[in-house]
Amino acid sequence: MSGVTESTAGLRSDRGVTELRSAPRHDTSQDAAATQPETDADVAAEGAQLAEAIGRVVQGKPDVVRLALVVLLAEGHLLIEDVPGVGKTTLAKALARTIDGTVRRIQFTPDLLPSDVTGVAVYDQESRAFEFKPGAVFANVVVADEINRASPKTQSALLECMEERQVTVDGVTYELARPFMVVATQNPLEMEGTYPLPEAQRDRFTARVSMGYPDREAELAMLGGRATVDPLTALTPVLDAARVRTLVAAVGQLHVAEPLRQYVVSLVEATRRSPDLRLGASPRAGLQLLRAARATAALAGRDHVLPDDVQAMAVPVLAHRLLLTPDAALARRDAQRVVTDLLAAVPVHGGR
Amino acid sequence: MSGQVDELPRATRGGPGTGIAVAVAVLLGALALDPVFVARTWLLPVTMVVAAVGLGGVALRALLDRLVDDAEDDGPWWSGPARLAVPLGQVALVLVVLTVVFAPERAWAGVLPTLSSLTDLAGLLGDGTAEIREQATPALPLTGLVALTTVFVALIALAVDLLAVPARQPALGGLGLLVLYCVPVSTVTGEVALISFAAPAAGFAVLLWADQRARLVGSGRGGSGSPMGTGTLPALRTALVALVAGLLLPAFVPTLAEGSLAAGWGGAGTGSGVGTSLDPVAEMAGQLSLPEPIDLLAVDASVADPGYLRSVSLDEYSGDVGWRMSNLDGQASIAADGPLAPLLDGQSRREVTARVTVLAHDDRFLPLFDSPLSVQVLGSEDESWRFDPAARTVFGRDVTTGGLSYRSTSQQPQPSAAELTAAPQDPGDPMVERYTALPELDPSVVALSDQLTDPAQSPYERVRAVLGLFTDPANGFTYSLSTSQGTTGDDLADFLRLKRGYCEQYAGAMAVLVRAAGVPARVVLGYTPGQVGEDGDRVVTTDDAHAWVEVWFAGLGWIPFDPTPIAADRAVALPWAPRTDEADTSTPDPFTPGGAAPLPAPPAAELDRDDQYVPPLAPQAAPEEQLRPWLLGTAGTLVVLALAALPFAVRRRQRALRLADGQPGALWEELLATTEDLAVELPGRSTARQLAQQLAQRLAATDPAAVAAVQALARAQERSVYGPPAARSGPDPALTEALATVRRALLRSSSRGERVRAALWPASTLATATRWAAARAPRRPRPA
Repeated sequence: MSGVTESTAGLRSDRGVTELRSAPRHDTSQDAAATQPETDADVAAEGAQLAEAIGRVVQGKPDVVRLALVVLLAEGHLLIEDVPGVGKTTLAKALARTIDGTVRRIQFTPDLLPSDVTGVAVYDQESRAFEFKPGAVFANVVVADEINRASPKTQSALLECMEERQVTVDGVTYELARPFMVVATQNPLEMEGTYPLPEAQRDRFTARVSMGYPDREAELAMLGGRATVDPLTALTPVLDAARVRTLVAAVGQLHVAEPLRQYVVSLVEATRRSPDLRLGASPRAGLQLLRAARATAALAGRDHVLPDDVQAMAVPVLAHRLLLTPDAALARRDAQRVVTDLLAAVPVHGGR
Repeated sequence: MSGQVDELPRATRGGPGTGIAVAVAVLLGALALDPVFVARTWLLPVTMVVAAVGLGGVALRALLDRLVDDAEDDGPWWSGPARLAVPLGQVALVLVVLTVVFAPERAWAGVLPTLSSLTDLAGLLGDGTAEIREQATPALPLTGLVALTTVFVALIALAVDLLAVPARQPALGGLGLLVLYCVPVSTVTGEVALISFAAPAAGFAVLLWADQRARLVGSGRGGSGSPMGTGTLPALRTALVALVAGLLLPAFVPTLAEGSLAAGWGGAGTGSGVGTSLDPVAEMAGQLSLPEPIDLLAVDASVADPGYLRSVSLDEYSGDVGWRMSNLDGQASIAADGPLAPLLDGQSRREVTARVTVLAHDDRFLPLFDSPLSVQVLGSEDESWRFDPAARTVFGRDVTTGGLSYRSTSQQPQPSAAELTAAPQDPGDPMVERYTALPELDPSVVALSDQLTDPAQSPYERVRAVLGLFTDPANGFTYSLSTSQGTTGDDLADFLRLKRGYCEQYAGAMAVLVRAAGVPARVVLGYTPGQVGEDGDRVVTTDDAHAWVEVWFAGLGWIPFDPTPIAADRAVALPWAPRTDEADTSTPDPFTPGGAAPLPAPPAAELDRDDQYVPPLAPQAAPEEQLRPWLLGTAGTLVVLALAALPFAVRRRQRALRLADGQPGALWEELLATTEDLAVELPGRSTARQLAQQLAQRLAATDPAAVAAVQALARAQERSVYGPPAARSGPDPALTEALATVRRALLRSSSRGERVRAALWPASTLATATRWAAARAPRRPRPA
């Protein structure tokens, strides 16, 4: 299988659930270059620190790192899809490590059971009562590795967790930690031994990103660096969970003007009208697109959201939710291309 | 994201298709000249030069493209200047065609122009200008005139070709077609033939279609089917809508009838009371000077040839005013007992009764057959209608003829030549004294009168001699409506010298000459009796308005004479005053009057239409009238210039308003409009930031200061649209300054041609209008 998913740190429990813990550390240094009005959370500066830290591990992929941060700040879930060996799991783990919170990793395998994900009530002989043993989702960051290798039943177990941030077992509902982020990796669907992710579940991921091969320089550097020490082990947390909550709250308060809302709605509507698409974007997609745009704007240090932010997020947020018509698929169009075309067609208020 | 936005297809120069379309369009436009000429011999040389311009341009450009392509990628240094060679080559081709057609004798091999052949050509063009002056429309296609027309069309073809092909502004090329359309409009009297309108319109559609097609094919956005079919349907639709709008809209817009502007001046200040000196002419002018005849009267007469319908006589002549009416005596009512104006006893006469139904006529003077004995106005107070025995005019006191019917009985004098010859000369007669009164005349007029007449002759012989002056073709009088109005001393001298005029001048001049010969005379206004309609009634139209002469003979009274050459079907036979030209033709053909005219034949179509009598104007109007073509031409040019300058003015105004506004949004709009004017290529749908980035890339090389300025503008625009309300800033002088910086930089980075085009023909105004219309037009859902 993939060399990148190979375990690098922490304990490995059975059925692949690993718990990673790091020493608490909180860096509060403020960057003087901030241009935004005074708020209690300097998203741009702290985001830059995160990006820098992750970038030390995932080299040559600033866009992908940035997108991961956007999803984190948008309180969403990230789906990393690519062929084996390009660093999907590394990204997921690097993101997890930079945040000082509970991090769990689930290696999805065909025999993984839903209760391994959500948790199970076991009978305690001593207290003569059922006791709830929390599953792998009870953490701030859940790395769901090779999610499409598990059976659909287990995949669906993630559904409730991801959207509602709670787990219901035997009629009892347990709240999940905040922030809660699922970083899932998956191999392309054509690969052997995969179960395609259902549409409903794909829709729950805020964004899908594809790693892509590193460029020549990055690959050379990687070969040189890896030989001595794994950068992942050198990574220390930059923010704690409370701080991330503050940042997420700050992002949620970013100003969104009326024309921008309209632009998002026009864009989402356009996907539903497009003759190339069998399934357009859901209202949830619009919601998450706006959230992601907010996070993008905050990372850029702005106190308001621009259509540019929406455009930057449109492909990663929308493309994996869309289903092409057979004609469009035969014409070798893909969802990214369709979204890009829509961006060029939907009018932007205040531009041209 | 700018990298993901497709570059718009680069606007290319018009291909060969556009060049050929220009030739077709100009040729169609030239068809507008068809009604200007009698025959179509002008069409061949015009077609040849247009083809020379169009095909020559295509060939030269293709040659140039090949030469440039063979060279480096960017084209050699001379490729820019070489573009100038194309129009020069076209001019040379036009010269060759002109030489071959018009001046091959002294040309080299009959083809290549030499200095002497060019001199011949120039002489021919000089002849052409003279022929323009001499001929009225429709004109004979004489060589000079055709040469001049050919040069004219060639120039227009060159201009349209330049505008449509290298400048890619085929809409402006339409101005050239408009000029062609203006030629028949300004020269042909009356209605303009349909072809004059339809042909240039079709040409314009062809021009737009070709350009549209070139753009669509060039951008690879050709919808369906062959390249020929691309964009044809929208072009057709646009052309149809424009045509229908052009035809329908004028119906709802009030316009001035032809000539009524001048008539309006003459009619101003007409007195209201009867019995004062007033100008009857001005009141009639409004209905007489319509471009299209209007039915005025329906006449049911007891005889087949009822003679002239007389309205009023002009019996006073002065050198500075011309012929006018003296005061009317309004004492006698037509209801009074006894005949109104009986003829003298012992005179040949015939009785004519008539019933006249007024259609559109509306005047204070009743048109009556001469000489009225009794008039019965039906359905109106006879008391309101008065009779002046001296003028033999029935006129209304505070009433007009509108909607009336009346019956009249008249006695028409039918004197024989013998009776007239026998009429004595009696200098002591008060009539002679009153109706021979003349002011100091132009010496040439007096000399002419002396030369024509001899005091020893009988009055009738003298009158015949004067009449012969006008009716004998040998004397070369030509009928023309396009001369100045009026019968003042100067006007008459001009008429007698230039021998071009219409009924007013013919009658005025004859009356003056007859008076100068000592015979009492006056000018009479009225109508020829019209054409027999379907129901047997005669219908008198505005085209039947006429002026003629009455001469007083002792013992016989007033006898009509008509010096004007009018169409045979309208003419009234006056056996005592035969027209020399009529005598020759046994079967009068209105289209060939006079058979052997010595000069270029008087345009027949005009004769047919004849003789609107146009009122004498106030004297100060006369010089203006002579300037009229110039004034009209100048006004037309100004209107065209104003129309062409309209986008410029609109754009200027828009710019000033936006700068005064100073809000980031307004400044941003202005920046976008500037880029559009300068044809800066920008992605179609993009955010302010992306546009700023594109502009920054363009300006980075030339003007780094402008890069910061354009980004500041974009930031301000973003903030004003998307920022939190608290952060929005008002007008900021620094931003206005930034806009000025960017504008300067953009202008510097554009070619001179783009700058000129942006100033004269700002594309943004047109695009704004188009977008405005598109936003309001119903629209089909369109796949994105």
